[in-house]
Amino acid sequence: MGVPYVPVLGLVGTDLLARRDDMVVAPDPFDGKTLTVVAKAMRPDVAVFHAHQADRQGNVSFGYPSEALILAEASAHVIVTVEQVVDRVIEKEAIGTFLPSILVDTIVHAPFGAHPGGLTGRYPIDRDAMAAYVAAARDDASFARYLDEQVFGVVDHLAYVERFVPDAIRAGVQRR
Amino acid sequence: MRDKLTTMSDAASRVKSGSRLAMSANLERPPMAFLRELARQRVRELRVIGVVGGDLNLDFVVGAGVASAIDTCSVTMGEFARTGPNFARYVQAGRVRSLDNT
Repeated sequence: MGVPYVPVLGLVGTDLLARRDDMVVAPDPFDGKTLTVVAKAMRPDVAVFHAHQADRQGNVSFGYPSEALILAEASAHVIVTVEQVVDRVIEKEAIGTFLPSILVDTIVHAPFGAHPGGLTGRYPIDRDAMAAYVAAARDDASFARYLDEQVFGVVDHLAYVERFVPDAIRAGVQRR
Repeated sequence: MRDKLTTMSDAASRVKSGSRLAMSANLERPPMAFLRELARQRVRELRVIGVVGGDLNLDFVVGAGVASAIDTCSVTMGEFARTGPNFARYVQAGRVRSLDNT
């Protein structure tokens, strides 16, 4: 949105502000007395999304509705990983959220890039892989082993797909 | 028009340690391949912003040591857990800063 801060009426009088360095209490600049909380705007350096399709110029058809537009406008650099790179994405044929190329800096081809999560309209959540993730995340040692196997143990995303995305999930891809 | 298609490795290198990274994802559509590459490149100390909230994506960046602060309203894991196990463990031990923001 480009605004430097946002007034918030509801938080005045709470002790939450003692723990926050991004919110202050300030008087209304018009009447000089009504107190509001003023929250500093967040300016992400990078926003990253995973979507269905993009073209090489950076036009993106997300395939689902999302908050991507407002985040892309707020962020200095926008990266979108996609299931498919196509010749041309145009707004009137886009499904769900459309991001125009002017808001997008970087496109990466990453089939099954949401795994072990799912991608609405393409493939389901990998339930077995999610159960394994949750089990591994129970303590530092077991999650370190998980990272060694599934992150550091594969050279890149294509190697990850070969090794960890099961056929049943791949079969869930809906051809258009 | 500029050709914006690049490799995962090159794209991940645009995220500098200590910077702010925003996402909008849950158990559907998390950019996991990208987040795994951030971990491979040993990106550290990110402030990660989940709009609105997040699931697997936020729990992963905490557990992988990529994030030192999380702005979110929730970290849910659908039917798989009550919350992100890494996120809960790190917050309770004071190892990651959690801000109720989004």
